[in-house]
Amino acid sequence: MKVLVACMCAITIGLASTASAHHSLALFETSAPVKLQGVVKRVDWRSPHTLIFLETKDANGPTEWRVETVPNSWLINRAGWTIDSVKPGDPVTLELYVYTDATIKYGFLLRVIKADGKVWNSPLDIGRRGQREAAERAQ
Amino acid sequence: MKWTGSVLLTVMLAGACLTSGVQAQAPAAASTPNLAGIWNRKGPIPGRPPNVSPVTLARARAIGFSLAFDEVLLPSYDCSPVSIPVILNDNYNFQITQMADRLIFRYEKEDVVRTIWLEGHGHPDPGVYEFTLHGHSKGRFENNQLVIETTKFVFDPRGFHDSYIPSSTQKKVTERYWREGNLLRMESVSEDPLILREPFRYQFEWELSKNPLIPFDCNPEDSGFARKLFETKKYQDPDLIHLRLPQYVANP
Repeated sequence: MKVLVACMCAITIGLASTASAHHSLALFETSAPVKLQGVVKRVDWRSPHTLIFLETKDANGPTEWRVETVPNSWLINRAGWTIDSVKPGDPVTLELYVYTDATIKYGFLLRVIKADGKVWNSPLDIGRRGQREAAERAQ
Repeated sequence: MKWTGSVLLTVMLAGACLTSGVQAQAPAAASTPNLAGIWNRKGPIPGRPPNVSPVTLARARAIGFSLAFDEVLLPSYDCSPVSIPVILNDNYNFQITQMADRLIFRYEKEDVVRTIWLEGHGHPDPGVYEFTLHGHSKGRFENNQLVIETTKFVFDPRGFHDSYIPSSTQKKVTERYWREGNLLRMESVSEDPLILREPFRYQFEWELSKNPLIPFDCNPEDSGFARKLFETKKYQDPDLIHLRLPQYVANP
């Protein structure tokens, strides 16, 4: 395995102020975000992730998705969310990276699109990292 | 809702701190800067060179550690906090409570609380066996700045960066804080001769905030959830290392 120490300077300058992530995005399919339509069942405003539990329905019946986003304080301090931005009972479309094993309904949130068209973005340093990871895989 | 309860508790605690802080936070001398308050993360100090990631300063053994490290072992999967300087660089607010003989730094990030023991008040030094995640912090006021020197850290697998650049028990972090109006500015220098080829310097500024800190409120079930998935054989494949460390690996 080749280690490119020499090129690290160019790649990582400026990254010192980016946030640390709780875990990598290697679990998720970051090259192709998906959209899910459903109803919010529960929102856990905690950390290391604010969790949104979404119920979707298809011909086989309801399915509950576990969707991670960033810590509660990032949503509120960095992206302007309030606890009313996404509430239980809200019909929403979530754009997310999904877990690579489709049998587990688990994903990482990119944005919430409300029924009235209002969009709540996730403040993603970790998202940019996901894009870098996706670009690496595409090479 | 738990979050609402936590916020109410924080507001009450913040109010209590502010009330009691009128007496407790009186600067020890006229030249002592008043650093007390809740500080909202703003950005790098204008006009300064950009911050450089500690990854660029890592010695070969640190990169080797990073490449070999299994993400499943991350302490954060059990809600174990990060140490300084990582917590200084992260995207959270913090609060300083200033007392005559010590300062208390309370961070949103992982609800970490640090005590800075001011010199000249008879505080004992740590014993030879006393190493901790956040180390032992001694502070002094110098030229209207608070200078903090912290040593006695335990080994930390991501003590310098969340790409698993570790820090050793030889880590020493020096922080300098000063006020410019409603801004709090900081420069830190982190040294670790076993891990870094040269000191890691970082500078940042925060602005005074009226909003209470938001509790991190780590959820152990959530924190450990991804670990269970990383334990599958698929994610133990060393060829997948390029997914998390693309900056190190060519032609994976």
